[in-house]
Amino acid sequence: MTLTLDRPDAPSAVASGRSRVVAFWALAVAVPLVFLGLFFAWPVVEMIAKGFVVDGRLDLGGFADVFSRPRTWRIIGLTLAQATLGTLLSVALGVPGAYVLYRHTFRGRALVRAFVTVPFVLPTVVVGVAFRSLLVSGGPLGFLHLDGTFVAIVAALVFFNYAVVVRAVGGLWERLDPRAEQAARALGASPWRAFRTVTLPALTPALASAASLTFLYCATAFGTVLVLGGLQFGTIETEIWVQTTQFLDLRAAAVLSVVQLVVVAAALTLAGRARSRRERALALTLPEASVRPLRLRRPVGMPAGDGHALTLVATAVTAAVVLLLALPLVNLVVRSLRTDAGWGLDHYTALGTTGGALTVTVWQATLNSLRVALDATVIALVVGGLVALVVSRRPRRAIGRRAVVGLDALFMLPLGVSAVTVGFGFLLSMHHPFGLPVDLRTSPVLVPIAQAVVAVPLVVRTVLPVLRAIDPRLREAAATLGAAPGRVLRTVDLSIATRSLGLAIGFAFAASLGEFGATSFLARPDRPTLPVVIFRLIGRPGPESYGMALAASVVLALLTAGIVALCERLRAPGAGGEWW
Amino acid sequence: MVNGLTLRDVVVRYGPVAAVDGVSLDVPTGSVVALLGPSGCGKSSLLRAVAGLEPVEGVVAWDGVSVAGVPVHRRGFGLMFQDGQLFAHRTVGGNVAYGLPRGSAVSALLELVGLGGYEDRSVATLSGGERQRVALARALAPAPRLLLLDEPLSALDRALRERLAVDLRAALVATGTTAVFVTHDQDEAFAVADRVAVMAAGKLLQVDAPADLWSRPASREVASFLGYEAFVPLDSPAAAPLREAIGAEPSPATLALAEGAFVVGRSGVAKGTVRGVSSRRGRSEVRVEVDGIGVVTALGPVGGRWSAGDVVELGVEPDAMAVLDD
Repeated sequence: MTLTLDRPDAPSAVASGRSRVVAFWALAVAVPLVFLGLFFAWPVVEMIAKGFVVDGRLDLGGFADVFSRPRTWRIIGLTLAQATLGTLLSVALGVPGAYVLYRHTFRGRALVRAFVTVPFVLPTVVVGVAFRSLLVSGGPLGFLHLDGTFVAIVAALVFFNYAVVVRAVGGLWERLDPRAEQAARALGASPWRAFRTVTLPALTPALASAASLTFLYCATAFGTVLVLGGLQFGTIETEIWVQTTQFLDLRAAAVLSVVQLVVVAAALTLAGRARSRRERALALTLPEASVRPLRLRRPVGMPAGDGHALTLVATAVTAAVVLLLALPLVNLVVRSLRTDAGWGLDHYTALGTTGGALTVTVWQATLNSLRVALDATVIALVVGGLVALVVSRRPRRAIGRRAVVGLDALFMLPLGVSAVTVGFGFLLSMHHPFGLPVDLRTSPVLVPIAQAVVAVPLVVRTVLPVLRAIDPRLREAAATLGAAPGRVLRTVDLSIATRSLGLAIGFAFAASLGEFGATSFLARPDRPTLPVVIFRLIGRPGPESYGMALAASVVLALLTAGIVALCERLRAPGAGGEWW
Repeated sequence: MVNGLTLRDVVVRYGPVAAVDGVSLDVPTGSVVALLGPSGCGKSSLLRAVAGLEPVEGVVAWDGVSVAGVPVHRRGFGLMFQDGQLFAHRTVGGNVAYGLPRGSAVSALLELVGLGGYEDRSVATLSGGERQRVALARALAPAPRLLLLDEPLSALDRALRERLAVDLRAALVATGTTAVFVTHDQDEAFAVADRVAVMAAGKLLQVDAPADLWSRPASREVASFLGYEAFVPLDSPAAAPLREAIGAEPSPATLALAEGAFVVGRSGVAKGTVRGVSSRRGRSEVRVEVDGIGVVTALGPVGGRWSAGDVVELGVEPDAMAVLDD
């Protein structure tokens, strides 16, 4: 210990250091605020204003007009009905799934867990195409006559959201201290009663949070519903699209945007409440303490009536769900390989052509999609990362804390506001923005920006919990060891957040690859993205176009799932030892 | 020239509540001071304020120069937390090296805390005691001019705590580190520190060397916290045999009695009624009620058997008594 100490107090250096810190945080708040103000708030306001400002005067007549149409009420009713049913079914199936996949170990568990996540990251258009190819007359389930029905839409929504419930509930369940349930059993409760009265209430925060997110995704579903519902069924979101693009009724679209905003705000408020209660006085433990091997035969020495039947039921339900999840995907691949002459790669070969109707080949569209998604991911990471960083702070003063809560809520809004509204708002606001003589509508940067707006909340939600979980004293320990604020940020916050960054990149990339609502407005005809091309292909008659759409869907699905899988690997423990 | 840490009228507020209320204290270079007090007395807040982690009123100075306005990382004050706060994303070596210039060797520091060869271990594989040893090595690594220790042993079990307290003292002395050590355990404070500062309700009650603190507590409050359990006026009749044992004159001062001030079975100078018996490490602890004094804990020989209600003869142990000045 011959280290000498030389730390002269240097006020000037301190002052400049502090001003750098202030400058950094000011920038960290300003960049996301300006970004979302310019590319989210402004287009949305512009779009909504179109409906209510007539000749420079506020005119709310649109409300009365739109609400007097029976069609409007039918659409609102349909939206709520399918969101409610989709949520209830997702939860009912997801809870046993969480129990089997997170409370038990078995061979291949990692594979099954990864597999049930696949539908969640699949582009909505692909989900729509996959379900249709399953249900059309002539499809494997054609005899059910479900094509274009309400049931088909709800099934697709559950397919999409099952993973949301399983992941959220399972994540909490595997850390739940099993001794509370064991105490209930020792007090005379049956396995079912112990589950109902002890475990289920403990899971409620995760359940409520997952349910409100699922409701949100169901209520704003666009691509899936547009493909499956045809003209008969729809959500508010598809209706906004129909009103703007088919009927050119901007007023109706604006009113519907407001209605959707209300529905979404309600769901988000519920989700926020549930989230904030999530970590309340729950006795949590390490997963090792609660997870047991899955056994189909009753273990030796376990008396009958000791809960084995419950496990069997949950396992059976989950096995059935996994098979049902696989059905549309396998069918999609199989059908994409079927040709007039039997089997072959003809549809995939056709992806190199324009199919007679497209402006570019499908492969070119794929390349476009990847480029756009890459740009969108970078933007979303920067903006979302900064938001997460700012929102994860716990300022000392009350006013600062309130500001953080406000920012948190503000940055979540894009999660729920109609992507269609954003896309159309872009078209309106980027035509001579601020009176400047430029027309940004033709600019290729709009598509990645719009997709980044959609992806930002996903990045925030992935990174924020990790940052919030950092004990503030860890940063204090670093500071007392001589680390300046910048080094603390780098070696503590960033080092730890990097674990979740891989997943955030994956989600952001998948979200923008599959983004369809806003992109359908903004993609220029000569540079369509893959989902836009798929939608165009299924809109055309003829088995060739349909075959191409199937093949393109397989390509898009493989791309998205592959990238998410790759990114999820990024956060696995590395050999370097620097990361977890 | 003032040497080391100087605190003058330090106040730390959380909202309207003053957690630390006008504390003045000197910690000369090379010495170890323990801040001893019950939980919630403000000792940890004071420590955090010195580290620069809480806004503070009053003077915090090092070698006569105020450190107000110097951010945490430039103070050169190390801080060791109760739960270590190791960086789980770094190895043991990576943790210790954190405060060192790039490339510095950490092996000597790990040797110092008895963990030689642990460099590449993951901190997740360490036991509670090993974690605290790593935390100590990490805190000592940048050779802080002052090391602040916030109940570093409290989370450990008793046997480990007692062993680590000795090792901690040795490490601090070996490195010549100036340290402030916060604890609520007086045995720990006495084992580690050169001087002990007793704190209650945000104020310092007394600062003294361990032996002086024990034999001359400044007030009844300090005495109760140290474990003195009964208080009698020196001039009361019940205090007469006790006065004799310590050779004191009758006065209005108060006599404080610690556990073991009375000994069961020694040549009796007083009588007491047994209320209960327990055993600690083989020795009997007899709760006896003595007229004019109240219920006190008397020590008995190994293997003694008494029942509640027995009247026993009590001897006196002068070392377990102190005269309070107030």
